[in-house]
Amino acid sequence: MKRYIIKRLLLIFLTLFGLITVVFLISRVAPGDPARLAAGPDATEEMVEVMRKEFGLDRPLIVQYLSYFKGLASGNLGRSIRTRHNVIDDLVQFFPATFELTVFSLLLAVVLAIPLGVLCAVYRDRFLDHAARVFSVSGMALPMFWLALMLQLFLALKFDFLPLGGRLGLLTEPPTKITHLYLVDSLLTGNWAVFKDALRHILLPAFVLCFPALASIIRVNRAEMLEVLSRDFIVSARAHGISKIRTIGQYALKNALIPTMTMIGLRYGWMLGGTILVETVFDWPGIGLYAVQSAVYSDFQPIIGVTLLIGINFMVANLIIDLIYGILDPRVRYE
Amino acid sequence: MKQKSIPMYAEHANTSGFWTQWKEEHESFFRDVRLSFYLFSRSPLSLIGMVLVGAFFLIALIGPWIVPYPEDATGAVHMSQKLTAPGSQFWFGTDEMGRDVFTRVILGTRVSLKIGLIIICAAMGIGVPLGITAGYVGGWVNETIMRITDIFLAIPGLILALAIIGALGPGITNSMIALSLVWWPGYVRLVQGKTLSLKEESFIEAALSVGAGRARIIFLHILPNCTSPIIVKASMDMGMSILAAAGLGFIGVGAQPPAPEWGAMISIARNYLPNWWWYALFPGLAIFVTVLGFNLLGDGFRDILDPQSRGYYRE
Amino acid sequence: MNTEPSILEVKDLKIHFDTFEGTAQVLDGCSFTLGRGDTLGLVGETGCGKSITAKAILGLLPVPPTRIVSGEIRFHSRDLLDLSEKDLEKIRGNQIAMIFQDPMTYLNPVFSIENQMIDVIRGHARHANKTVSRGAAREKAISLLNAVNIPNPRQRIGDFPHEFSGGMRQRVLIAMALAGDPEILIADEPTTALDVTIQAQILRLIGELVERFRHSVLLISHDLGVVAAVCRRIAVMYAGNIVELTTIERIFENPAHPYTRGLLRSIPNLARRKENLVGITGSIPDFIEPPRGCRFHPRCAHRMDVCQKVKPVLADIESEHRVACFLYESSWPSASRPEERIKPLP
Repeated sequence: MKRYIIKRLLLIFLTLFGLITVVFLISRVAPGDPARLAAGPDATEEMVEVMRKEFGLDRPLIVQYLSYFKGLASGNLGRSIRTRHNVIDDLVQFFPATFELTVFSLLLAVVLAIPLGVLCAVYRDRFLDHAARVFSVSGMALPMFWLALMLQLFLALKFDFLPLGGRLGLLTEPPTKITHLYLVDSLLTGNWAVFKDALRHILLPAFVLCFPALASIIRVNRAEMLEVLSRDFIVSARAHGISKIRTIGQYALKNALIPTMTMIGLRYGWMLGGTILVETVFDWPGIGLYAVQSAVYSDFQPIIGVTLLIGINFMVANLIIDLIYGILDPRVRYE
Repeated sequence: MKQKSIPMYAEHANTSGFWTQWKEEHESFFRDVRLSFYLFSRSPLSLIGMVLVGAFFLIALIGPWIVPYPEDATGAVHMSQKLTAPGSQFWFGTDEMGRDVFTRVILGTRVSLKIGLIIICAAMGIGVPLGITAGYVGGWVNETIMRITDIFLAIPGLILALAIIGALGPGITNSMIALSLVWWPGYVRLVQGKTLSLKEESFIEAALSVGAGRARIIFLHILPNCTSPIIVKASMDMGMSILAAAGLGFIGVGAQPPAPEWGAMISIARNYLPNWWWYALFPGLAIFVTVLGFNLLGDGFRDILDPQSRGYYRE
Repeated sequence: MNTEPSILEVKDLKIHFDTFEGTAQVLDGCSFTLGRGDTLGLVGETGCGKSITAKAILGLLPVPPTRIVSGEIRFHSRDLLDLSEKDLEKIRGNQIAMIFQDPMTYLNPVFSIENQMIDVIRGHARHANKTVSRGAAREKAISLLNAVNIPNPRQRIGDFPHEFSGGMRQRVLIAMALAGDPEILIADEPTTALDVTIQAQILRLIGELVERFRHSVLLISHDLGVVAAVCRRIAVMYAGNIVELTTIERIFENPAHPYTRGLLRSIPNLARRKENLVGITGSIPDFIEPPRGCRFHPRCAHRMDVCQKVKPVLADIESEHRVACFLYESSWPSASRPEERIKPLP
């Protein structure tokens, strides 16, 4: 077990190394001139030259590559031209907001999707199943940013039901920083007013972000439940007088959850990708918005930072999922 | 197979039973086709998908000749009629430059079709050969290709695409390049897995034992057997890549205004909510309907082509 | 003679199965009875409807695509087909229990044997309006595993199914079936998936248990030898019909239905050497458009005109010997010996 985790962490490290190489190559081999991009659109030739020297872009590619790694090893992700901060500091500041949004949204999706998936499988080809199928197929086809705008239009602008964007209202003081997750911090300090405000702010973005995940988890869970329900051991459980509810909710579901977990892990990563759209619409101060604003400014270093951070997140999430596998399925051996 | 059966047919050809004989010989094939039609026709959702996709292609094809204001496709400005509500003159209303939203949504079909086709073709062009090579050659070649694929799969596509655009600079061409570069790994995985399992099949071994060449095995045996999963995936990916490109357009790094791209249109329209709601509503609906069509069609294809989901009806 | 009253009576059971090509008539009027302490073997080729019959008794057939068209399954005078799912749950495992074919797939892979057995035992208790603590249920599970000769049950009970061998898994399934102390034990091909040596052990175990607990047994198998090892009576099934129903001795000494004779002749045996080993020509008929009249007639060497038009009913040709075949038509009212009438088979 311990050896397995170490092996996986090593693999994550190697993959990150590959990822950095890929991103580095793209940025340096790309037809665009990074020095010119970094210098900004209005820069004169001399300024571009200065930039080229400063970033070491006049040196051979391999030297640039090595020095880039040397910087990374000491935690230096470069500087953002737009915010004028070190990228690493920006990431530390913005990541908790994204993490809170993504995890909340994922929990929302799981809590809603798993019972729905089970019900659809049990009532296969009945009304609920068809309705859920229409919902999940269309859920995956909905452009997230557009759904976000439409919900904003109705729930926030027309009916003033939920706030338009941001993490907290303008007049609300953020809670004492413990975990940097507002919902958790306000609960820990017992600050109900802030908790309520944070919850009202997170509901809309989280709902939009979980929409595609909801759709796909329902589908996977339904398909897996159908598969498991047709297996022999379900017949024998019923033949031994185990009640229908128990057979479905316990005997079948635990088997079906195993493949569903994979989808949940994948969805966590895709949600992190989706934050660049949702955070843009809801003005959510996370790394997604940070990446988008940097991309619009052609501010390259922050985007690499965000890419690496999300990559690490995704891979660690998959490792955790694999460990949960072992709890659910006794046949899994970590080697 | 076919060449072998010709002399057999010749023996029976003089009898009137040639046709019945032929039918009997291909009974399993007909059974399959009948089953496919049966499955497809009993799924109204697949049929809806087919209609939507058909309409999408048709509109993309004849769009420029049916729109009421073709000049609104790009930079035309009619300030006198800006932000007019939907009505008999402008079905979907007009935008901040007085351009007809209906015209621009219809013409956006072409842009989206182009984006989707280019991304999928590029992704398949990179992914399928790599997948077959990895699966067929095996060994360190397989390891190398699959590890590189894993690197690309280790991060959500949209983020990596954004990073690539960050390097290349914003624009519709660059966003298509970026999306193509993040879309191919899925095809490598799919084709490599399929090739690996096909290599174990007895008919490949049989072909090898009679001395069939590598190219012959790949093009006659492996590639045709990969087509159905590739069709299913490509059909789904068509919708997904259109969605992703619209997302990039929306955040401002994809297609740039005034190009009639749905995502970019919504990006501008966002500033005119809530009073001028039609401007954002219709391009979004267009994206939704298009992607929905491809998803439903892909779903329908999978139901037909996936032997697993057929089992239930075979019993 | 079967003097004890029957506790299970299947009457004219017809089951259809909807497929996309049409309706398969998988069970076409099947009738038999099972007395207390009785052991009945149901024999036939794969796909003849044996397992469907067994699952129908416990209400385990998926509906749709299966449809029970007509018939009755009387258990102690109650018709099981009329019972609600809740009432059936009380009967399953408690009064009628089932042992399955492939012990690999019939145990839940992600729960330990302990959890699965405790669930079954406590479930039975709940249906009898009693509560059993987990500890007591565990003790009972251990004693059941002991009864089916699993070595070290106390250590092994916490193991997962994949940690047991095929034969051991089948023993676990038998123990689970015994947990509710059922009146009737239905065993659906209990040894088919096992090695020959293990088969004999499991059959001996079932035989011993029947002796000890006086269960009534319905044993389903494609193998006449397996049925002969455990059962007193036998029902031969062909394409959804029971064609012959008699005692085990008579089936070997004096088989009456042409299909039974064919089945017996296809068993390899030392006394009858290779040259005499003949199968039955042709194959199981299409269930969607089954042959008219007797379903066996296309493969039968003795077919007459009437066989292609009318379906023969299962009728006595002597005491405790019922056959569905027109060869014995003249003997239907009186019980005369059939041999005089039929030509010896080639």
